[in-house]
Amino acid sequence: MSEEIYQGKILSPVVRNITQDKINLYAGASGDFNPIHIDESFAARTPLGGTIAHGMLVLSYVSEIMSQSFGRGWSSGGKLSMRFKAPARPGDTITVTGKVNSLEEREGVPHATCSLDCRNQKGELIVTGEAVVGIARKENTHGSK
Amino acid sequence: MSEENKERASITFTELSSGYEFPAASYLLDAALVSRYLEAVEGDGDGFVPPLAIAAYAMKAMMDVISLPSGAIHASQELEFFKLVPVGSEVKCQSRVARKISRSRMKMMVLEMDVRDENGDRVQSGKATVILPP
Repeated sequence: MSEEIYQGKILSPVVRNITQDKINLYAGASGDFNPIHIDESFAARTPLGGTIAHGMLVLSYVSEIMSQSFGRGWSSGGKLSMRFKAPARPGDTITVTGKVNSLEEREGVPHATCSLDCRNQKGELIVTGEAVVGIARKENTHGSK
Repeated sequence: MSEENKERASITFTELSSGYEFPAASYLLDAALVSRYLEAVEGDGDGFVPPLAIAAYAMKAMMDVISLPSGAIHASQELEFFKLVPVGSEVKCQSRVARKISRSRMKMMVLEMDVRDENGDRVQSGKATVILPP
């Protein structure tokens, strides 16, 4: 977890390569066998033109950037709001980036509001949104830096 | 997933209405399940269930009940986490159709879920928007 959280801080990015094997593995782990994810011949006949990664798989990478930046506070007090803008496809390299946009006290606890984006290797926006998380008191926080 | 959950009949999109409450679904987040999840998302374990794993299984619990056409896709997701869940815990998911839109070529649903642990403590809530193919 980061030692210091401050307004404007850029979170360490998370980078993941999407493959059909990984999508299939996620289907097995999550129980989501929607053919748009795992059946290449079916998916090729849809407007999407091919298989796509599960939205929840991509969101797991978003959750990871928050976990690595805010530790267990994320899993016990985080809030996430994300919109899926484009599909992540096999062969894509997904980079999740985040930035602390603001810090504010809520019921005596400092909270960070972060903007989050997932883009593919072409820079296309895949998922975008915002997360809010409480910061443990032991963290050194600043209004800005 | 419990046998009770598996026995529920599927409901089609047409049969669903706003306000419909799904039967509560309980699921055990044991070490094997969490290990498979972590392998799939390339994550590291820390003795607690990743919050997105809880969300994924809660979504599955809903999708076990709804019979959606192939090609349904996720448009947005909101999640709020309240409590760490140790691996090996059993959680209960309650969910409902918050909103259903069905126009000529536009079909979508907003599903709300609430997940609690064995003590009845809220561990997670969420809202998913799903778009169905025309």
